[in-house]
Amino acid sequence: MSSQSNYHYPDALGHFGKYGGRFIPETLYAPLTELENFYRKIKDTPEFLSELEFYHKEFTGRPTPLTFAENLTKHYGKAAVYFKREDLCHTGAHKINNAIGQILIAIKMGKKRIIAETGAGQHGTAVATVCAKFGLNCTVYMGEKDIQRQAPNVARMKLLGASVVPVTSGSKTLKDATNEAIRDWVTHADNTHYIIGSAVGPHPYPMMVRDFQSVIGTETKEQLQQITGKLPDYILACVGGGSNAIGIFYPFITDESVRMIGIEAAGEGTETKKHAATLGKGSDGIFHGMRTYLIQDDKGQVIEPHSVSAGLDYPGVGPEHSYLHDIKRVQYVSATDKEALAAVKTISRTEGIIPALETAHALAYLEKLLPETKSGEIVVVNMSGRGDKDLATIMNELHIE
Amino acid sequence: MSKINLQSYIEEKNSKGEKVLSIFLTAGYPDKENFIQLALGVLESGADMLELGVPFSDPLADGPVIQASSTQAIKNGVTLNDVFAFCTEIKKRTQKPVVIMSYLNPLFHYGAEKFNEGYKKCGADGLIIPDIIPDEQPQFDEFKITSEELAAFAAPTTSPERMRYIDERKWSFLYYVGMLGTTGQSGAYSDEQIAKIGEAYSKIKNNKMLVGFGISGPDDIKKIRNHCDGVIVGSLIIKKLAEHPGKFEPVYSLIAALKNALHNEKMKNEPA
Ligand SMILES: Cc1ncc(COP(=O)(O)O)c(C=O)c1O
Repeated sequence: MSSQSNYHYPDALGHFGKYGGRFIPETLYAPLTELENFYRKIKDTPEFLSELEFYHKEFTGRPTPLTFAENLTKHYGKAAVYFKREDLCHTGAHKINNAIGQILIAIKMGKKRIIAETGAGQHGTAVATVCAKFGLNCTVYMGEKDIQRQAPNVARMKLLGASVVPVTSGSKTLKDATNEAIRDWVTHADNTHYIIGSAVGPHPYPMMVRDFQSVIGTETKEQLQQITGKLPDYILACVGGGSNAIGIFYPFITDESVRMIGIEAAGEGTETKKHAATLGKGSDGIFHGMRTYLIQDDKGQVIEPHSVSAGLDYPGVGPEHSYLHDIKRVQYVSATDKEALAAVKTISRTEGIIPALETAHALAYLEKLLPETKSGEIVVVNMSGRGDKDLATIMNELHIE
Repeated sequence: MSKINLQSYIEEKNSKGEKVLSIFLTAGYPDKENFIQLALGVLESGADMLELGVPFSDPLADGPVIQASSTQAIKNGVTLNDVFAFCTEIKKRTQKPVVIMSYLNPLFHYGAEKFNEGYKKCGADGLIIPDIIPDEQPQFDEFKITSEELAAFAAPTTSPERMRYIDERKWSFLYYVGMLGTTGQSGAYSDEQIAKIGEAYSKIKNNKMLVGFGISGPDDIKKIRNHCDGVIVGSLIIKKLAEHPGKFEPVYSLIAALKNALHNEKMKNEPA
């Protein structure tokens, strides 16, 4: 593991090592620069921070608890397991941390219209929610395939007043929804803010989304300090675009003793073509405005990824994860559809928490990790979301009557 | 076949009172077999310059028309090697410039050195990359392609200072995005858009400026032609190809009409 005592990424151009940056049509240079300058100007001001804290407390339901997973801990008899309960955030996932932060910025910038892409529908729901609360017009792009597998979230977005635009191009999932959102933004950037849903895209998005999600790690650190007086030995989080993972990792990056593990979706297995393990199986590429690891064929065409969870079904990954992977500060592993589904059932029945299918990938890794740990050690898992949205898929796949 | 310097080529046309008509084709669309015939036909019908689009799975700057043609070309099995081969063949049979247009990822994945070799060998006269901005140019240095062979982009959102910054360097040409958004939007150019184009054109000192994106027919060209050194038409052509499967004639007559709008009629009905 390398020492990170002075970690200060991204650089001025938005690079994390060689990753990140801005690979965009010139048309977007101005709106991205405007956003970056505005964000840098207000992000650390006491007014903005207290406003953010106010809405997190009153609306999101922060701080979220750090729950001791007592039964699971007893079952393995090794490290103590804690869950950081982002599933208890309003709307049911960590996505709202970012949505609130960005909408406050958009309002201050005078934008009247919000667009977003969504995979699992959690980000779309979070954005539709904050748009309803703050009275902004909301359009969400969603792949046709995801609209089918995440029906409850589609209903929620519509009820909240958002217009949900089905995307029929390409693989009809998250990557294509992101393409369409970017295309919309290119056309309407003057009055529209694009709330990207993960720590991906051109600079400043990966930095800004990380900053807004870092509340997860900051709270975790404080809470664990209060409960145990210690730092965790391990932190686990699932990685789609990587926002919940970077949110919990970032405040610990310079704490060298903390081992951090990101779990990607192995789909039907990383030895097959049907997976979404970008860091595990992908290679250096340029996609959605950033340089990052990418799942692509030998011609540099982006391959349709596969995961049972719509939120992990993305061929890229946040550029900061690519960097953390290369410098080996974070270890990236993967869990298959089957392992994730099994973990949904286990955690539901042992801990009384139904996790999102995305989160279940991180939980699945406990089965491999816990036997290797020692008693007295501490493992924190980012419980990024709840599984209500996935019930149809879960019941169908697990054949529960 | 020696390389054509695009700036000099455009300059030469302009000095004869002509504006340049550049036509974009998705390489290997509608099919691989007849593509060279199509490309040569396009040049014979009046195009002054040809852009060969390397198909990419996620063409961010393009609208549905070019995206669909790109998807089809990928299905047809078109690769960068095919694009080089097309270019080699076309260059053998024309005196006009042929440029390659590609998103960065396919080039990047192909490898800088290997790309440079193929690019040089195929006789291409320039390279257009819609998702690289001058600020990220250092990441492209390893490709060893000079800025005089690359196009720079500017858009209605580009500030005057940035326009100056972009114009400081000599590029093959400045690709001005005439309409905010992706390629192939329907609807004619508005007066406001034309004014923006004119403003940009008056500021550009070191480069030739071609206007593209959303040119929907001869009428748009008539409005734009006095505010640029040439125009780029893509989606309109691809749409015509899609509408008339197996027939290239409609595309050829369209190009003749575009050329006419760009050039001939100006002599008759416009003040000097
Ligand atoms: C509950 C939950 N966890 C994780 C993710 C994956 O996104 P990220 O990697 O950005 O956290 C999603 C995405 O929709 C999600 O809904």
